[in-house]
Amino acid sequence: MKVSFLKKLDVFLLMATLALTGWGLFHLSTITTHYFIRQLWWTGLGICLLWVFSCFRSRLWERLSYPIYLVVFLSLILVLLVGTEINAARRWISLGGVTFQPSEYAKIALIFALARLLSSRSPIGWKKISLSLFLTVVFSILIAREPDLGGALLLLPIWVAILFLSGVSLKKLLPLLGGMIAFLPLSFFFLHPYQRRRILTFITPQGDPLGSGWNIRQSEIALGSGRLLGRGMGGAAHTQLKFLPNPFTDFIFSSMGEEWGFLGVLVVLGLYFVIIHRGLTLARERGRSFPGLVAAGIVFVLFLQVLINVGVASGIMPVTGIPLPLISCGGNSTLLFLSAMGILLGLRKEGSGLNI
Amino acid sequence: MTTKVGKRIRIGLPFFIIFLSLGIIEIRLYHLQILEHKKFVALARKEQVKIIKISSERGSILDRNGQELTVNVPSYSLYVRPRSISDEGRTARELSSHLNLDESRLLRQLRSDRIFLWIKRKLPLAKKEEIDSLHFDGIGWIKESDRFYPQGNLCSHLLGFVGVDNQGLAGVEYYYDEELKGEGGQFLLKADALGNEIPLTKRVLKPLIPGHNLMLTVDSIIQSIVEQELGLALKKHQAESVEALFMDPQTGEILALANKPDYNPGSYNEYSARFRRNGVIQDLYEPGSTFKVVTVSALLDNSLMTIEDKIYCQGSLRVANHVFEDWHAFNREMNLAEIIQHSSDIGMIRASQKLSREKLFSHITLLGFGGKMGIDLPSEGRGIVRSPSRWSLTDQPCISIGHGIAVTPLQMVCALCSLINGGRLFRPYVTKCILSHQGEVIKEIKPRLIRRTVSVETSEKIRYFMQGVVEGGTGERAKLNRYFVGGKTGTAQIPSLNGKGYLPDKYIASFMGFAPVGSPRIAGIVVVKRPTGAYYASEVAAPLFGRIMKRVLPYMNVPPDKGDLLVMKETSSS
Repeated sequence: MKVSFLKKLDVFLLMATLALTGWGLFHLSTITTHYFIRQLWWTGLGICLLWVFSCFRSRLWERLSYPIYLVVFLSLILVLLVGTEINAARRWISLGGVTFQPSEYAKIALIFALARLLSSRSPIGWKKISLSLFLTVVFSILIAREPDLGGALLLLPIWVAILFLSGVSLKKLLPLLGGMIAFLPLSFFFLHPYQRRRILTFITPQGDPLGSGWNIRQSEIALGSGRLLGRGMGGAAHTQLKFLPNPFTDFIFSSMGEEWGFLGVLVVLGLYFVIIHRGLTLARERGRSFPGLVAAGIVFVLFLQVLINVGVASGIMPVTGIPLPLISCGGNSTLLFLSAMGILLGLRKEGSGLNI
Repeated sequence: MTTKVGKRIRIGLPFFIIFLSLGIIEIRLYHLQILEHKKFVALARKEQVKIIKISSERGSILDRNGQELTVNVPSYSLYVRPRSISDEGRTARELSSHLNLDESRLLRQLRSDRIFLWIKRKLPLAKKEEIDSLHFDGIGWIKESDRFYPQGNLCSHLLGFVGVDNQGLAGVEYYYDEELKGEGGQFLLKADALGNEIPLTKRVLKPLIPGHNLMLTVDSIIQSIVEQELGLALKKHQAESVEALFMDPQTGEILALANKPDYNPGSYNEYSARFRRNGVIQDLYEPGSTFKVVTVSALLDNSLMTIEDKIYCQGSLRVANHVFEDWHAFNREMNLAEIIQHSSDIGMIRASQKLSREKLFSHITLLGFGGKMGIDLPSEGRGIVRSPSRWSLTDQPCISIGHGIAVTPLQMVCALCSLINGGRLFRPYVTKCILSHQGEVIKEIKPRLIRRTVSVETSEKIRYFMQGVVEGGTGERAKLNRYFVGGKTGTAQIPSLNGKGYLPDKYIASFMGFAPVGSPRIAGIVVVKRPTGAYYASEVAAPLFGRIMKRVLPYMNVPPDKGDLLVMKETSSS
């Protein structure tokens, strides 16, 4: 039994997850003590969830997917009503000293709901597409109201990805995509001033070297001064001298780049690729089923966040506060991604069982 | 179940997109970290490393006895970083009321795009604490040092003053700025994004060298006696200004230099330029009768007259189209001593006719007139001595009695010193030595003989003549009971600015003298410009000189020439 359990376990996936989490923790310990200890607790809790969820079967998730969506929907409403306001944004619900950020969990809830909706045997018509879009847009609007533009926009690619993977015909998908892309430039006018500024700063970073441009510039300096091999453990001067903003969360990748160099970040990206690869392999094995779509959805979210976070840090995307999965300091993100990896591990075990 | 699993999922395209995106990210990182790392390493260094300039402590100025005439007091300069102020309105409102600044202007500054702005330089510690207690953000202090003159107005024209950056602007502060200011240090240190210094990263780029101290030749006791007496005289005679200069005739050391009215160097900008002008070395005037001593020395030194030779002094004398008259018709024969004693213009003019123009001119320049004496103070005046080829017929008689020539009080004293000290013309100087910060002597400034002027015999005769002025002559009111004083009065008219003639009823009364006559220890001049009421030097300048000498000589421990206790009691009771 023990042997079969280990056999079923996707060791690569687990190892990559633990390596990234461990490295993130270790890196954090070299630049801060306070956040390191907090993150240690969250990671411990996250690993427990990972273990628990790795034992769940996909039938359970499938049955729970709409209820989960409902719970997250309610908490997104709740956060707008009674949420804690930090920096003019209501994104958190305080519960006994612990703050929950429902928008983080909205990603996984949406993946479950979309996977459930789109994996059913009947062909996908306009009705289903509209319903799936509705599920996505409801979350998007609620999150955008917080306001958390980055979080809200992140859901749309998830919808597109799952819709695409679920086998909807391209005749239906392409006009949808075209419409969305046409809408994007118009959306600029609905943005808050600070959001517009970020985008404008991204286009001309020299326009405001000490304002929004400061963050990007400092991030690039931190990365650039890391060179090939990095400045060594604890040698991240630019991080430790507080030039780098948010070095534990949004810009943790830059501080890693400074400390571990190009080779270091290459390994980090490689580990992410392992996870993505395992998830997509799982999706290929399970096809257009609920577990297949969930697995693809999870790794796609992970990929998107890595892409955006690193893109921001290296100055090729406008500044948005998207955490780096499994590495950024922060309870909600840590719990979400460790849980998601647990779910993936569970699906993987199930998948290998089916193949026997 | 099998149909569900069998449905192929479209995984190729997502895989491709993911692979491509990560590839782009890798290329970007390669670009940043490998290709352009030099640029970013340099940028990081530029941001993390801060070069701090520290201005050095300015040296002190001491009098000849080591008394401090300047001190440096710590002061605090307030700056803001406009971008890091959270509440500009409150900051502007409260700062402006505490610092007496214009609120709207301050608010505009606080809202500006600048990174760093001075709000107010050099505030005292109490003000800093007052402002700190209000807890503003975005403001900061830089410690500077402020020049403070503990003796107030004393020596103001000598010391000069410094500007807001402690740069010397006048007087000794200006002349010796290089020595006093030292060299500012430069430090390199690492600082975080908030500007906080990181400990143990400090590296000295250029060491801080504190300024040297200066020890002046001036004695602050003599100086304060002189200043007191000048102040009283200024009031008494309602004069435009009163100037005085005292020198050690054996060395050229300046013992006291004063102008009244004066100013406080610590708040120099509250005074107009007139108060700050050092007339003693800058201002030209026609010396009048005091200059007769120069003419007489020319006659004696060229052996053109002896002390026995007599000249008839009639009531008036016509030269060319000008009629000279004495202040009192003597109508008798006088020798040189008497001419000096009673200050006869006619006698002097007639005697000077024995001199050729060239001889008189060369003697005048020999004594230093018409050129700078080389005192170690800024903007010394040259005076005006026209060359003899351009003299008219009346010029030589005029010059022989001190008109038609412009001199500074400094030149008069230097010439006087050389006439009474055996013919040695010394460079006047105010700085005795330059001391290191710790007080060791770095450079001692020695008396410098410019040249020899008259013979020892001539010098002795001049002393004798000048003693006569005080003992029964025009300078009688400079006479002291316990010392023999030598001197010469001069009541000169002031040329009008339009170049023709002299101002009516405007005079410069001066007295130059020395004591004791036997071996002079101090020589000097007092100049009272435009007194109202009495204007004769014998009435205005001679008593002032006497009063100063009466206090200064005992202070200098000069042994009395005649110690008659009875006479002394009489004076003290009067």
